[in-house]
Parts: sequence; structure tokens; C-alpha cells
Amino acid sequence: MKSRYQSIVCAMLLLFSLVGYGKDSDGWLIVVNADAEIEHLSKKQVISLFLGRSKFLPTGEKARAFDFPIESSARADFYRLLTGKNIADIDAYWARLKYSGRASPPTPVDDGEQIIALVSRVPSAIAYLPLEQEDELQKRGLKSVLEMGAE
Amino acid sequence: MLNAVYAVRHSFFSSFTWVFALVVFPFFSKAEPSTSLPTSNAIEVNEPQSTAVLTQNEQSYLPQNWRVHGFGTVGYADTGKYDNSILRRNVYQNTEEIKKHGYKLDSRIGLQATGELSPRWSWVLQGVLKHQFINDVTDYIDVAMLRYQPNDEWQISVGRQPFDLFFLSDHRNVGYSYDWVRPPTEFYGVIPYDYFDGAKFVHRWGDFDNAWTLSFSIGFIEDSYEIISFGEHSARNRDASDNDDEIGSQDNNEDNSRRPDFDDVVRAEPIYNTELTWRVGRWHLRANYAYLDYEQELDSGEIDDTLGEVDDVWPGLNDFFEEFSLKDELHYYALGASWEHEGWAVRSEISHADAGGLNFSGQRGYLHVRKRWQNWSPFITLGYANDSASISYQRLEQTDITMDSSLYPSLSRIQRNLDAITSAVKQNQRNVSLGVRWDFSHHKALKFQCDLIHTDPHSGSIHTIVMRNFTRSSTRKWCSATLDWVF
Repeated sequence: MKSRYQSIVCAMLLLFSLVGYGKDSDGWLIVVNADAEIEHLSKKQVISLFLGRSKFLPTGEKARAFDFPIESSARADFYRLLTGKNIADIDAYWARLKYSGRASPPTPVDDGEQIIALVSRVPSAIAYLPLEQEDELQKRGLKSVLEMGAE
Repeated sequence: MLNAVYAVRHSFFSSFTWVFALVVFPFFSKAEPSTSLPTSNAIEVNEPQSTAVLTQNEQSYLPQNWRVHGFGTVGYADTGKYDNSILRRNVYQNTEEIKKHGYKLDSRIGLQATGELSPRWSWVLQGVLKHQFINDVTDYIDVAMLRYQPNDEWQISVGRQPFDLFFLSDHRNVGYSYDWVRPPTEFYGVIPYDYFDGAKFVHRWGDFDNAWTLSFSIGFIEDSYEIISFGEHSARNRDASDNDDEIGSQDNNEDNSRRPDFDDVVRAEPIYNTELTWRVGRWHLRANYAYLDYEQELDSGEIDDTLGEVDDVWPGLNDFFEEFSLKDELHYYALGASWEHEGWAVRSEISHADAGGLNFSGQRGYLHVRKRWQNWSPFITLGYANDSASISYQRLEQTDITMDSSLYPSLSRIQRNLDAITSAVKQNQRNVSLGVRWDFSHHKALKFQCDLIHTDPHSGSIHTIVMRNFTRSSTRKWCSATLDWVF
């Protein structure tokens, strides 16, 4: 019986490790379209935009926020850095907003390349990219409005 | 035995809303510049874009801006564990059905479609399939609203939408969104109003660290629910009834066929609700006041027959049912506070309901504490409900009817049942819930929860099957588990 419980515990720990969300990044850039009339956003403004508390950019345009894939470690790392919360808390938070009809979460796309393509084409878009991509923003039609370094 | 079902009957809600949604609003979308996102083979995202990139996709704006989401819960609890008590989520649930089928207690599935007609006009349609009293198909629709939001400060929505009486008012069907297997039944189980049909105005101001929201709602509510269970529903046995003057019995072994059926009709119109929320730092505070002008009519041939027969000798009986089933006002006050920091979450809500009649009155509250460790979130919740409302009427002992009268045995049974009804609608209970939530995968969570519920004597609560020794206090323990997900 004891070994049976040990097996169950081991299986749960294995499953637990498989679903961990933990990959860290050096930091993130908040990016908008290069033509957007925004030069800087505060961290609080970014939190508001990515958590549905604000739906409009400071320019008055309806914000179009884009996200990394739901199950990606990049997304988990970004929200942890932005809000200090576990991604499960963020998902539960968005479930509250989404299914109450209050707000829609940022649209998840496949990867960073797709984010770049979208933000470069949508003037009211806002998204995040790894810090390492800072150098290529300008030539891809994007600009950074906030830099968040890993803590 | 007595079975009383309080039903607030649904009617097809505001046809105006449907007409507005299906006919008028598409024109609004064309009145404003469309902001459809161009699609390509490489990138297909159903998001609007600015007019600068609007091209041939304009005509396909609407379909591109539809989104369909869903949520579900599969759960089980040993609801039939006790003969005289039942674990119920709320008064929408039929006691006998839940007692027989434990999986019906928390299981449900919901679908939501949302769309943008323009950057400032949007709509939401949500249906939830679950075990509940149903009068027509619109009972399954929880949200069907249109919203206009010109900016972050102002918003107006019309149609069917959540009735903001609690923290969880607008998402209590979405199990994935909260820690519990089910929200505290003391607080969330008795007030049966999930949604209303009408208009809601919202104004927001302040900044990130000091954000205020004030909303005002006006409309009406129609719904179906059971607030008292006297055991097995009598409807199936009505034809067998042979004793019209009996509306119940104290005898536990009473023949079920004698139970009459009570259909209660309540329509709340108008309803007003105002809610103030304040986000400051790690705190989220809320206060609301709601006023409901509701009409509740007992629809029971048995009662009418009985009242007609004894009205001359016992006028107090008529007074009782007039008190019990009158047009009345409900004033509802609630305060809530939530605090979160580094995985800790503390939440509490208290409410006071002041109804002129017997239903809904009392004070209720809970305190919830949870701590997240990675994907595990154990929690403890303490709940409390107190209801001291009573009806003043002439009791049988205060009439001229003596024990020698041939009517006395029947009327005596009726008196006992009036006492039962009076107690049954009261909710005096305390609750301790221990549980854990495990976010084992993205958008999926397993939850396990045990509830220890103490019910005071002569208190129906939503867990007591009245007429089955409910005059004594009881302490019951139920454990339940759910799998919650969103998609």
C-alpha cells in the first residue's frame, strides 16, 4: 500500500514538473506600431492594457493587444514580470473578465514573427517582444514604448 | 409531507432587445468606419484594425470579429449522503434531482460568443447548460447584451446581463475563474438572481492606483427557483392526493402522495442596482445597494381550496398567505473586500437583505483565505448566515376553534405546516470549507473541497429537506470534486 501511495505522489510530482511554467527571459519590450503617436507608456498603463482595465490607447484609439501562445513559457514569463502573478492566476483573472462579457483578452498569435508582422500593420496594436529583438524594431516598423528588465 | 417550489416564471425577455440586436445594430456597424483586420494566408487573426488598412475585407467585418469561447465543469458530490439534508449549490436546483444525481450539482457547460460591430460597439451572447429550473429556453441564456463604450470612462449596455450583487455575480458559472468548487452557499446560494434584463450605465475614473467604478442598473427580473424543499416533489403524485386540506405533515413517514404542489410566481420589476468599486493598491473593494419591487404569488389550488373552507373560522390563515405571497420590496446591501499579494488572497463579503415578507431577509457573509504555491492553491472559507424574519398572523391557538371541533385535526396539521414553512425559508447556518485547487494544465484546474455545514434548529437553509427532522440542529459534511476548464 505504501508503495502505491509513493507511486501516486511520484506521478503527481512528474506531472507537476511537466506543467511548470517557469522559463525566464532577460526582459521584455512593449512595442507599438512605428507610426503610433505614443512615445512612452508606464508599466501601470501596460498592466491596464494587458489586463483589460483599459481598452483604449492614450491616443484614444481602441487598443489591439497581441499575446504569445496561451501555453508558451514566454507568455507566463511576461505576465509574471509585469504583474508578479502566476500565469494560472492571470488565466483565472481573464476567465472572470471574458465570461462576464467585460473584456476580451489579448489575441494570442503563433510567435514573435507574427507579432512583429501584426504590430507593423495595425496602428493601434500593442504587444511585447523579447529584449533581444530591440535592435531590429525600427527596420521592422515597430518601436518600443517600455522596457522591462528581468528582476 | 409538503413540497413547495418557488418559481419565478420566465417569459421571453424583452423582445425589444432581440430586435435591437438582430436588426438595428448591424446598421450601426456600417454607420461607423469599419476597422476590420486584413487577413492573409500567413496571418489570420480575427481582430479589427484601423481604417488605414481597411480594404476588401470591409464586407466581411462581422464574421471576422466573432469569437466563440466556452467553459465547463464536470463534478461529483455524494449529495444523497443524508436522508434529511442535501448539498445544493443554490435555490435554482431541484432538491430531489440533485439528491439522486450527484454529478448534476456542479456540472455545467457554457458557450459565449462575442463580437465587435465597431471599435465602440460590441455584443455578448452566452448560454449555460446546467441543472436548474427551466420554464423556457431563454432560461439558458445568461447574457445577451449590446454595449457601447466610447472611451475607458463611460459605458452603456442593454439586454440581459449579470446582476451585480456579489463579487462573483458576473462569472459564478465559470468555475475555472475562482478557487472554490462552488461559491459559499450561505452567500451565493439564496439570492436567486443571476441576471436582469435592462440597461446598465458605468462610469470609471481615477488612475491605476486609485481606480473607481460606479454603475447603475435598471430593469426587471424573471426567474425560476426552489427555495424550500419538503422532500420528494409532489407533482408526480398530485393525482393521487386525497386530502386537499392538508398542506403538509410533521410526520416523517407521511404518505408522499399527500403532498400538494406550490408554484410561486415572482417577477421583480422594477429593479435598481448601484455598485461602487474601488481598486487601491492590492485592495479591491465594492459596495452595492439593490432595490427590487417583486411580486410573489403562490399558485396552488390546494391552498386556495383550504383558505376558502376555513376563512370564516380562521382568518389568520389567509393573513399568513397574504404575507407570504405579497407584492413586496427587497432592499439589499452588500460590502466586499479582496486583497491579493504574493500568492495570498483574502476575500470577504457581507450582506444585509431587508424584505417586507419572509424571503431573502437576513445577514450573510464569508471569509476566504487561500495561498498559491506554484500550481496548488489550498484554501479555507468560513461562512455565516442569519435570518430572524418572521410573519405576524393569528395562530390556530388564538382562534375560537377548540380541540373538540371536527376541523381541529386538519387545522392543527396546517398550523404545524405553517410553522414549517416559516422556518423553511430561513437560513441560519455556519460553514467551514477546506479545499485545494490544482492548475494542472493551462486553462484546466482540478478542485477538491469539503464542507462542514451546521444548520440551526428550525432553519431550512438550502441544504435542509424540511419535514425531515429539520426542527433539530444538524451538522453535515460533504466532499466534492470538479474539473474546470475554459476553451
